[in-house]
Amino acid sequence: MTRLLDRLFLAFMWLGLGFLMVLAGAWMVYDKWGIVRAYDVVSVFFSDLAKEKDGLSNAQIRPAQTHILHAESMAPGDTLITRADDTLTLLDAQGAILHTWHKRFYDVWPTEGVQAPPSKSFYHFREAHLYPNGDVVALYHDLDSGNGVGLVRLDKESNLLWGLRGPVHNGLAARGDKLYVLRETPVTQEQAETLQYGKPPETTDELLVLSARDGKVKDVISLLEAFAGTPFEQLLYSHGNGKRKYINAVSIQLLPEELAAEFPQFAPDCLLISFRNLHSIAVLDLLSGKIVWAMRSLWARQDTAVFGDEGTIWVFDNRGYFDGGKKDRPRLVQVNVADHTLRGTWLPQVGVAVGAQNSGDLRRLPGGNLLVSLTQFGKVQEITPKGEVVWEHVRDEPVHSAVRVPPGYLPEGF
Amino acid sequence: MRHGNKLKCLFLAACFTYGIAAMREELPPYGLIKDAAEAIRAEREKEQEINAVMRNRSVFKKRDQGNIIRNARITQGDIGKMYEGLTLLCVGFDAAMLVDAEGVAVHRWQLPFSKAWPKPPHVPEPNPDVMTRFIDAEVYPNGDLLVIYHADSDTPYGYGMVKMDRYSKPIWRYERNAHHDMYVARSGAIYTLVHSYEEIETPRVPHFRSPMLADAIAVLTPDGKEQDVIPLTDAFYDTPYEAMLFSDLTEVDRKKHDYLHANSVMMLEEGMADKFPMFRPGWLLVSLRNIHTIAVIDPVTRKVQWAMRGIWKMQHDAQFLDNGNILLFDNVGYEPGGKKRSRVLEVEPVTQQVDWSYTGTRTESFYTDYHGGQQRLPNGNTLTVETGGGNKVMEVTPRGELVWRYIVRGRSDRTIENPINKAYRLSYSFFNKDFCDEMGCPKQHSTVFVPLEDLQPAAGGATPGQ
Repeated sequence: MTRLLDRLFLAFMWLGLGFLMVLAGAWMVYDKWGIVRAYDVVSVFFSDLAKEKDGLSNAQIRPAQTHILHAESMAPGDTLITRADDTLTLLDAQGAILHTWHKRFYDVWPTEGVQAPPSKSFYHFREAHLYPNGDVVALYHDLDSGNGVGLVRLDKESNLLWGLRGPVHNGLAARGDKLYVLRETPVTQEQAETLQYGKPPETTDELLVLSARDGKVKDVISLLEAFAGTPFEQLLYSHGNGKRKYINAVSIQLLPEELAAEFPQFAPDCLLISFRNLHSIAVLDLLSGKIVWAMRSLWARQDTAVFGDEGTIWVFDNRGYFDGGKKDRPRLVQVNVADHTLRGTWLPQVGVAVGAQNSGDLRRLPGGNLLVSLTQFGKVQEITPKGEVVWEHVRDEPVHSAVRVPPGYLPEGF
Repeated sequence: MRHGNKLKCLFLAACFTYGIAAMREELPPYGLIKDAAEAIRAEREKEQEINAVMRNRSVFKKRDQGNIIRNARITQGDIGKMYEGLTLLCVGFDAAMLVDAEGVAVHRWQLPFSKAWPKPPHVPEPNPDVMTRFIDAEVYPNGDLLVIYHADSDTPYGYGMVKMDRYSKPIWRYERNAHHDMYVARSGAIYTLVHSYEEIETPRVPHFRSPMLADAIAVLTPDGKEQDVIPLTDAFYDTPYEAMLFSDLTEVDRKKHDYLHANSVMMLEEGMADKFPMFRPGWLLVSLRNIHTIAVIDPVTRKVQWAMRGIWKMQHDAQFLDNGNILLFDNVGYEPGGKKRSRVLEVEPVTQQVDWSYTGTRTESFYTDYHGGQQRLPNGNTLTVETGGGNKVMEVTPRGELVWRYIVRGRSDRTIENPINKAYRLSYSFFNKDFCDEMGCPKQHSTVFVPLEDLQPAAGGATPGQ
């Protein structure tokens, strides 16, 4: 009996000691002891190992998958996507490749000192606009820094028509012979004084108006000065602005002609701009060069903003959503332009991350559906305004942008 | 090493690793350990702060003999541009006073929390009096005063509401954790904010952990009887604004489970409602600091009818204005040159345009990351309170010209100073004659001018649309 009791007490003692050790380990995490990093390193190692077993390592990229979930609700047409390389791909609804455009940056600008892979820097297509004759205008970005590095126009055989070298970056809009694009530019001394910076931010953005035919610059509008003297100027002085890229404009969209009647407050020649580092979206009147409408809301470091139906704007929110976990879950936010109220939000099912870039793209399709590119998760989804996914294209690589090309847009037999 | 000893060491190491993993991956008993650790830490911090305050308070008392007026400094630019009247100040720990334009106290109320509530049923272990303060006050024409008590370094920090007469004698007490702000409607009804820790499961907002510091609006009769309580988290459910609840918080607020942090309430009065066509009379405007949101709630449906986030951050004191705009104190949203500053914003709720703002003078900005507030005066001037930092009250014209300033000098680290928590200007005609006679007002003022440069608005400071 005594021996049994001894063993029982011994067992309790070891259980007690075990519990104390659990508490000790927990306290080290709570109190942020350095040793916890060792656990994280080991944890990441095993997580990578598991991914490789699942065939998700970079070395074993699975073929892209396309799912038609509700064909009757889809906007018809093909889809032009930009990925993490220098090829533009046109896909049909089943995901079959119909056409590609390919142009290496270092073939366009061979004297720029940019080396071909496997060098550290790799310049890829971030965003593109397709013309009805099969020409494309495409933006190059540096995959490492994320900065824009150039713009090209290619014909349907990928022959170079013209190129514009420089820090032009994501944000591309075209109408007639005009092409609108964003360019990063150093903050001037005068601007720095206005912004009251001791150590001024490095860059701001300006809007370039180009001739689509030859790429010549027709006009330049300073986006920083577009705020000056407007009732939205305080946006420039508000929290969260970029220390390096002060405003970081990341998307532009001209007011679509078919939606103009739903936005009577705006002139037909206006541009919706998303300012990522101002956490704001704004409408620029192209005639006056001034901001005529702006909004900041629950989103943070948002990407694309697009005009939607019924006088609304959709915003791709990168960092605003928080549910207690990591802040890497994107959401879509819809707002009413007339009264700045919130219409609704939609949380995409994101799946497994295939890249590190926390960004995305958004396009409104004829009929009101949205084409959403979840870059980090290698997904393109077409959703209805109610948030129902009707079409999906999934890759094991980042997808930066997707554009739906309506039937009949391209010449017969393209 | 014997085989048995190896096993024992392995067992202990496994337990230790599991302890780390439990906290990292939120495995059982993560919740239990986290809550216990936070409770221990909060208790230790509170004890340390109380000790520090007690030490410093005794030094302060010796130095100043408790006379807070001695530290006041008044500067007046142009007394003709001031809105004439008395300024009600909640200043110090348990005092409110009315001061004239020269900063002379003409009346004073003082009621330590322990005297107001010798045994408060809603605060089981109250702070010592030096760690409680009047956070807000409303004066009645006959000199009665409504006050809300706050506690430093205690949560829930709302310690309740008391109505006292002009001689600081309690009339009634509202024994619930009223906090931050109150609004006395023309009907006499009183609106205030209450909070308490509640064991609420919120599956719709998974990061709101129980027990949650749940905020609500309480509606009281003029004699302090509770008529209604409207929970604020529930008010967002099933509205387009539910997404506003999914916002990041500071680590401190996350630890306290203080997810909304309501800090102001105001009712839309009948006479002002026609300027706000999207709202109805009786709807309530609240400021929710931790989700950087101002919201309007219908007390009948108990739902949010409108909410907005904007350029402000951790704001206080949102108010309807009679021109259809909303005025608020933006604590940390203003960052010129990457430096944190505070500002007062007048925003059009429909267009989000900033119609007016005040960010300080050329030589003197202001900043407080807690409390702060403002009042739009009938002549268009704005009275602004900087609780931390400079610990001052400023009156500025619509052009941003500083015309009156009241500073309480001394340290302002919220524990040992005499913080100015709230300030309101009231015209002499507001008060009953007998109360006015008792105070000996109004009287003639002498004018003190200060250098003009000091009074000009800062660049981008206070011109419309700036």
